[in-house]
Amino acid sequence: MPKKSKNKKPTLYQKVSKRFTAINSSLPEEQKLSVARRRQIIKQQILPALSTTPKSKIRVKQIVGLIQGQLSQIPPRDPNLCNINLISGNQYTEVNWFEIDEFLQKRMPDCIYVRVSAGQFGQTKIFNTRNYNYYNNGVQEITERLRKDIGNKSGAAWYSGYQKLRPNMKNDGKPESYYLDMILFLAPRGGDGIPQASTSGETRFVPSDPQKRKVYRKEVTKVNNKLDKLFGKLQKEKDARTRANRQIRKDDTKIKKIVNKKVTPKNELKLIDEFAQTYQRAQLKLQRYLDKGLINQAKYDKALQQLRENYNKFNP
Amino acid sequence: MIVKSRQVCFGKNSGHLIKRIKDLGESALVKKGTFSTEVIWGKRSYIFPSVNKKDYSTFRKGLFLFGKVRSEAITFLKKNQNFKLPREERSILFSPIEPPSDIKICATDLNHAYWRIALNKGIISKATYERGLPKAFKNVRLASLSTLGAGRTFTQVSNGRLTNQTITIGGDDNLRRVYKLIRFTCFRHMAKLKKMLGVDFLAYKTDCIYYVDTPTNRKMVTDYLMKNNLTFKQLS
Repeated sequence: MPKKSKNKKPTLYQKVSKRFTAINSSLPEEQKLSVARRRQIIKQQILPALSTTPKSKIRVKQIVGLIQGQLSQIPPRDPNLCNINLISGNQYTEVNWFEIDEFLQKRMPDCIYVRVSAGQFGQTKIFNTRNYNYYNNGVQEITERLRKDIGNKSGAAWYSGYQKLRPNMKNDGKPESYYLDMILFLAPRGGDGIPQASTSGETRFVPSDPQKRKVYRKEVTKVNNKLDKLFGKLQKEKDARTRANRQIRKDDTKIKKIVNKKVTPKNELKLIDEFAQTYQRAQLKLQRYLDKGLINQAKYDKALQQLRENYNKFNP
Repeated sequence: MIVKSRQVCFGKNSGHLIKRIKDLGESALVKKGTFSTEVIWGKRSYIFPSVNKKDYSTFRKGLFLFGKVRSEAITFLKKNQNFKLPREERSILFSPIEPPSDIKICATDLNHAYWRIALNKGIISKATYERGLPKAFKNVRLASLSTLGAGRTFTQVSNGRLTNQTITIGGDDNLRRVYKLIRFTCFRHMAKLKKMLGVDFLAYKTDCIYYVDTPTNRKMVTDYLMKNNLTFKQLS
């Protein structure tokens, strides 16, 4: 096996990436960018900008300037959103085990530290939601193991968040000092549920100065209002998807009923008319759901195929 | 209190959530009902139904009745702003005279009494009455009338401590009077029958009357109920 050369020169991408990582880690928590976003910026903005300069003439100063130029274009974000201390407990309690991906990806701000602790089903490392990936962070493995054990029994398992201190950090109220431990609770026979990991060590920061506490409470309200708004929006989208899927099933049953009806000379015309109307409506609805993003392409194809099968049955 | 989102937690117990609220020293509102327990924490409401998902879906199918009855009751109120309530009678009454042991007792039970009275009084329409008649809708039918104008009373959890204080959200006294009209009318019918039966009266319980079984008594009771457009079943 050939030995790797130790003195291999880093590529331009690697050089830029190294600088970018260093700059990124010195930024405040709310301004930090995810790995994926950094890669995207390097590939789409920085490397093309450097392509006109000969490689030997590219200086660190130029790279840093370009990175900072890109960073300055990113709109600022509310720094309070990244502080778990300001996020009320109701935002991360009673999370269904099968909704953990949506919770980490959409419901939580993309700048907080999280760990998923599911005891016998597995545990992830502490990771930041900005770098979250369902497959890479080990959440998928936990969910699949749980699926095997629980199946579709409702209310048998859920996650509840516990705010804890990150290793070697102090309870100083800074966003980067805390992480959210999403602990799995199991209740296969009902009841209050048994935690699958230790719930101890919960740490919350509250300012001791009454004046500061007042300002702090206002900030808590603001942050939670934003998250509630987001949750409401997500819930609406979810409801719309559920309604669309229910309607597809209903239409399918309706068409099957017409197809299976006995055709007599008396009802023939009525049946044909009924079928044509229902078929057309179902097809239009499917298209509308796909356009609105309420169903995916696979679901659309399957439902359409089912419709066509029924059509062929009705018109042999 | 503004609730921005609702989360229905099937198969779960509210105990865990209440414990979390207490642990975190937060404030919330808790309402334990027959069909569900509701916890309002911040702007989020968590509903823990005590029925399973299948039964809940049957219940949901009849949910339209709540809105329908409510809107029709409001229309009734607009048309009859100063309606008079009948005199309040007791909902359960036993005859003070102990009946002899050798008599034969019979009973007459009103069919869906409150629902029928609501129709007779013009509170609900004929269409709504008929939609609510199937057996599956019995619970929803009763609930849709009994919740008319009723507020929701929550127990307060203040800074992690469960208090004795309660808070009532909503409630409409005028709609509450409509429900009273239905109930009092039912009890009034029972009281009238009691008066008609005289010494043969034994007891009545809401919508079922017990009396000494004689052909005259039976005829008297059935005639009265038919005259008042009420349906019934005779229990021997």
